Amino acid sequence: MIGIVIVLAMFPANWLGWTRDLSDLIRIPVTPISHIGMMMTGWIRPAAEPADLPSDTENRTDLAVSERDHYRQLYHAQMLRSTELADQLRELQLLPDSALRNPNPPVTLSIDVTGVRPSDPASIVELKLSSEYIDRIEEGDIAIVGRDIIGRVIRVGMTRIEVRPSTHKDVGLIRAAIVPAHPGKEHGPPLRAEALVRSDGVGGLYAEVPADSGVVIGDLVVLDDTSWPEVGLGLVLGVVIETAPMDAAPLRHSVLIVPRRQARDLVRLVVLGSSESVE
Amino acid sequence: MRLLILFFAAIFCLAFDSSFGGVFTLRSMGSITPLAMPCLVVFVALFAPSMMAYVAALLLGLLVDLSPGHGELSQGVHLIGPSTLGFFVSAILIVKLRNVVFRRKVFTVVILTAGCVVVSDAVEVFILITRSLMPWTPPLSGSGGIAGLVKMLATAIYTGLLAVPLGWSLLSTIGMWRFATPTGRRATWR
Repeated sequence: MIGIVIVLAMFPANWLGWTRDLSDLIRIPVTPISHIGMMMTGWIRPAAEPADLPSDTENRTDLAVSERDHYRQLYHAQMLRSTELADQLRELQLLPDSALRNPNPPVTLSIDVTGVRPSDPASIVELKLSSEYIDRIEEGDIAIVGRDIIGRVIRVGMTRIEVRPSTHKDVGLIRAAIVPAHPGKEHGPPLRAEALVRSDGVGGLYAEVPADSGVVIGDLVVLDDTSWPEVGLGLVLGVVIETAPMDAAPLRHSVLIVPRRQARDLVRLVVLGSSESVE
Repeated sequence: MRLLILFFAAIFCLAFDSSFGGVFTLRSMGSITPLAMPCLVVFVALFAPSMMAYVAALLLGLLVDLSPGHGELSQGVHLIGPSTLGFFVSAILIVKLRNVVFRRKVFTVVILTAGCVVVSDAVEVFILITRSLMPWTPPLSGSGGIAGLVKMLATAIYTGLLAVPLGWSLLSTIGMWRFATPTGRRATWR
């Protein structure tokens, strides 16, 4: 038996596809308890909200006042816009149903987390599978919390869904844009730099940008990759925590990025399902 | 040994390690998280008949290898072996040692649990290095060997601390497990 296990441990990955199904079966009795455990964890240790606000009280007040004015303007603009859209809607409602159908609208599905590896923030996350949304989720769909990307669905199994965090080492390069955290408040261009982001192997992301790009700590890194689902473009991959000049390339800076939300701190994720719903 | 009790204990430990163990994660210290499964392996290896202890260690390790986040390869494929063999080697060592320790003391469970984490992690590293030598697998990459070693030792200590309440709970329920009682004038449990 030991020999068999040793041989199995040396098998190529493409010969071990059956372990996914075996894992699905083994997780059947574990998932209910694990699910309850995750809910308890979320209750006992709720996730910290992303702290990208200035630490100084006066600066926070100024920022709050400017944001209040900004959002007041947006509110009035949206009120006008909603009135205009309401008029359009009344006209559209007169059309036949077939004219209103969107061929592939994204559906937001809130799904409970049932398994993580708390010691490794970049490890695969397991989500509860339910018949309500089994037909609406496909491999490659994006899992988010708020505006933050957690990862992508890599498999919809018999009993669970697996999500690979965007910081996982196997994700590869992601095309992203680095933008200021508070565009209206800060000086400089609204787009600091475009960069290819990759996992740093320890739960964060790494990128290199031109030295004159003006990237500073606190800037947001947003998805700008056409190989990802279109609905994810503009969502946040993480926040810049460190920039440093590179000895090997004096005209470039290295940038370290961490996600604002970690899957291990969450009880529930939202999956942007791209598959058509089954009527 | 009652297999049903082992089954429920294994489910609890698996669920702990893959969900509410996160309550105890030291986030500011490199996400160090205690593990429940090594404690169960130690408990079974201390009291079960040796052959049963080996088989149980293999099965418990297999369950861990098939858990989310463990033994990950591409596309959600799990690598069977690291924890399976790690727990098996730990069980062999504990079975060799158990005649010279005070089995019914929580302190024994604590020390052996911390040792089990170290041994199983060492076996896991050995397997991953051996696997990377195979022509069909990419070579191991990454850095932070010292940091990884420190994290493993810290996890072992933290798991040992968790083994205080968990080991006490397991020892309190030892009657339910129906381990074969050793017979003979000198073969008493200590």
